[in-house]
Formats: sequence, structure tokens, C-alpha cells
Amino acid sequence: MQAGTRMADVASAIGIRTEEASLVAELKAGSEEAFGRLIAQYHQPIYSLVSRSLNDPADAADITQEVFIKVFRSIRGFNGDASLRTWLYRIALHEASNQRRWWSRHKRQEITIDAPAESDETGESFSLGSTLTHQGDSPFDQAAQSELRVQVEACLRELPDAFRAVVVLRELEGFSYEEIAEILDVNIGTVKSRLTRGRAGLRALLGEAAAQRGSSRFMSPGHTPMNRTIVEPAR
Amino acid sequence: MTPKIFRPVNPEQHQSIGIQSTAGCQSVRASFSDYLDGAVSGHEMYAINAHLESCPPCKDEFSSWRKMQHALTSLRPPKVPDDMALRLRVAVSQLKAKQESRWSDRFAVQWDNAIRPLLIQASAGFAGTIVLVGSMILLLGMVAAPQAVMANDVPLGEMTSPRYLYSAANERPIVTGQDTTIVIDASVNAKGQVYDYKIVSGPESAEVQHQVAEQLMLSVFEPARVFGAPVRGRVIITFAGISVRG
Repeated sequence: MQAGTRMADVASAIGIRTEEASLVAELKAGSEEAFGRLIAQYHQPIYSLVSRSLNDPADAADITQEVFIKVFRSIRGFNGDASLRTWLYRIALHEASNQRRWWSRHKRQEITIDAPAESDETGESFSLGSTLTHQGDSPFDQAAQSELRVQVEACLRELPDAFRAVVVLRELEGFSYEEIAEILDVNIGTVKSRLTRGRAGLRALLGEAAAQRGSSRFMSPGHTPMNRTIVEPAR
Repeated sequence: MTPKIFRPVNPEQHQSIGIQSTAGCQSVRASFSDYLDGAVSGHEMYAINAHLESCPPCKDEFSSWRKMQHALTSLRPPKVPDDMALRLRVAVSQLKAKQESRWSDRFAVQWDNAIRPLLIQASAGFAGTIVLVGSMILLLGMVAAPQAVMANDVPLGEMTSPRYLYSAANERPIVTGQDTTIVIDASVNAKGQVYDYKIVSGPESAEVQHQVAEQLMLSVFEPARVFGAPVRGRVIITFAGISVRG
């Protein structure tokens, strides 16, 4: 039974690779229809990744467009060493990194007259199944969940870029260690190390935020709000 | 890879050291990230599990790691602008069109957008100019045409000089000792006959003068005319074909 499942997985993987190879061939031939499929499949995850990687999420749409334009321009150079998905994410992170550098040089000193709104970014109604709470939360619980998401997003944004990228790729995009190593062009040991430090840093930030709100959700017995130190890895 | 050693901790051990972690605890906590991903071997997983069961501080710590992970999974993808996919397709399409357009296509576009409208205006202007200038010329021709005054003018060409017609005898060459031309100023009467002459240049010997006189006497001229009436006139005659003796 297990052997049969494995064979099915292998066959599925081969099917995906064949489909991807076919898509890549069409993209290289300049098929607009193929680019349409690529955009339909990847514009949401690329936008999410870019949005979480930037200092200012308002730039995410422009950077996502830059990513796809870059993909269009350089698809002929894609040699298939990495998967198409991995390659796309690598370009996206590279563009986001460029934007962060630009932002730190130009925009950081700007002062906006509009204070950022502390609200749920999605603007959608809650999906109970995707929260940690059980079915049948009260409106109060839903509001608490919404507040928690905002807080998690804020803490995630506070993480150093290198840690945040690994945490996002692993926890939110579901990439394996090997794929993350490929995307970031680092070895697996570095991925594991950054993931450990990123998670620990995020836990510390969340614990600190919870302590300020008087919640013990992320606090462990050994945790004190003032003892967090997140050191950015050497580049 | 060397397997890590995780030892279960006696609860009393923690009580004796307060909440301070042991070396085993540090080792276990360092593996929490891998443990969350299941990236540890079966043996290590069993050891960590056993440690967590026996060590409440580590268990609480791991619980907070797991809550952090659950909090992350509760995040939803940011809301993509509604027109994002369309915007991307348009951007790619424009880029593709820009890359593929040949010079003829670009010229066609330029022609349609810039030259053609300009050409219509230029043609209209040119046609208008022709009509205007043509009308002006026509009006000037009809209204301010100059009168034909030729008929009233005195013809200036009615005064002619004598002209050589023919010789009454066969023409003979003038024989002289010098290789030169002879220029003669001859006077012609109203009948076309030479009545006087003078050698302007050339040998003036008696022999030459005799030959010249003989030639002139036999020559017939069209007399000079003033308004059609024959009058006397003068003519310059040149003898160029001279035989040189010797």
C-alpha cells in the first residue's frame, strides 16, 4: 500500500515536471497564453512574498510587476537547473531586496501625515477554519484573532531580512530546506540556522508584544520581554 | 551526521536548580526548529519527545514555539489588488509587442500616427497654394495683360549691309609670296558692284592688287538696303585660301 502511494507520488512529480517543462518551452517561445497561465498561477504567491519582504507593502504591486517583467525578459536564460517556482521566488526576493535597499536610501526619511491604520489587511471576513480557534468563535474571539494576525505580521516585519525570508519561505510558502537553499543560494546548514534564529526571534517578539498586552500566549517560563537579541546574520 | 544525545531529565533535578536549564535542555531547545519541521531522525525525535515529557520548562518552551508556528499559519495572504493579474498581462503584452515590432511595423505606426495626418494637411496646403497662384496668374492675364505693341514699332532690322552673292567667273586663288590672309574694305554701290576698295591687311604689291581687283570686279553683291531701298554700303572681305608660291 505504501509502495503504491510512493509510486503515485513519483508519477505525480514526473507529471508536474513534464507539465512545467512544457510551460517553460511555451514561455521561451514567447507565448502570451503561457504567460497568462504563469501569471494566473503565481501572481498571488509572488505578491504575498514581495509584500512581506518589503518595508512598505504599498510597493508590492509595482515590484510584483517588475518580477514578471524580469521573468519575461530572462526566461530564455532559464536552464531548468532549478524548478520554475524556485526560480520565480529567487527573482522575487532579489527584486524585493533591491527595493528594500532603495527604500532605506530614499523613503525612510519621509514622514507621512497619514498614520498607518491598524486593521486587517485583507479586509475579508474571517475564515474560522484557518484560525487556531474552534468553530463557533464569538465576535470577540474573531476580533482577537484579527488583532493577533496584525500583531504577527508586525512582528514578522521586525525580523531582520535574512531571517524573515527564510521564515516566510518555510512557514508561509511551504518550501523545503533544499528549495530555500536554492532560492537564497546558500547551503542547507545556513537555512537551518537562519530558520532557528528567525523562529526564536519571532517568538521573542511575539512574547514581548503579548507581555505588553498582558497576554501569556507566547510567553514561556524562561522568557522575559527585555532579553531578546536578534542579531542579523553576516551577508 | 552525529546523532545528538537527549537525556530525559528528572523533575527533582529542575527543582534543585530552579528554572535554570541543563546542558540537555539547551541541546533540546536548539533542536526545536528542526523538531517542528520533523527534520530530525526517528531516534532523535524519540529522545526529544522523552525529554519534553520529563522536563516541564522545555515543554512550555516548545509549546510557545508551536503557538508561534500556529500563529504564522493563521496568517492569510495579503489581498492582491483586483486588477493585478490583468495589469501583469498588459505589461507583458506591451513588452512583447515592443520587442517583436519590426522597423516596418514601427514605420507603419509612425505613418498612421504622425505622417499621414501631416501629409493630408501638407497636401491640402499645396493644392490651396496652386489654386491661389493659378487664380492670380489667370486674373493678371485677363485684366492686366500687356498690349501687343510689336505692330506699331519701327523694325530695327530694316537696315542691312552688303552681302556677297556669287562670282561671275570661276574663282581663282590669289597667288602671293606670303602665307597670310588678306582683309579688304570694299565699297558696294546700289547695284551690288564694287566701285572702290582698300587693302586693310596683307601684301599690297601690284601683283596682289591686280588679282584682288580682278576678283572684286567679277563678284556680285546684294547691295545694302535701308527700309528695302538699295543704297551704297561697305563690306569687309577676307581672302583666307591663298596659294603660296614656291
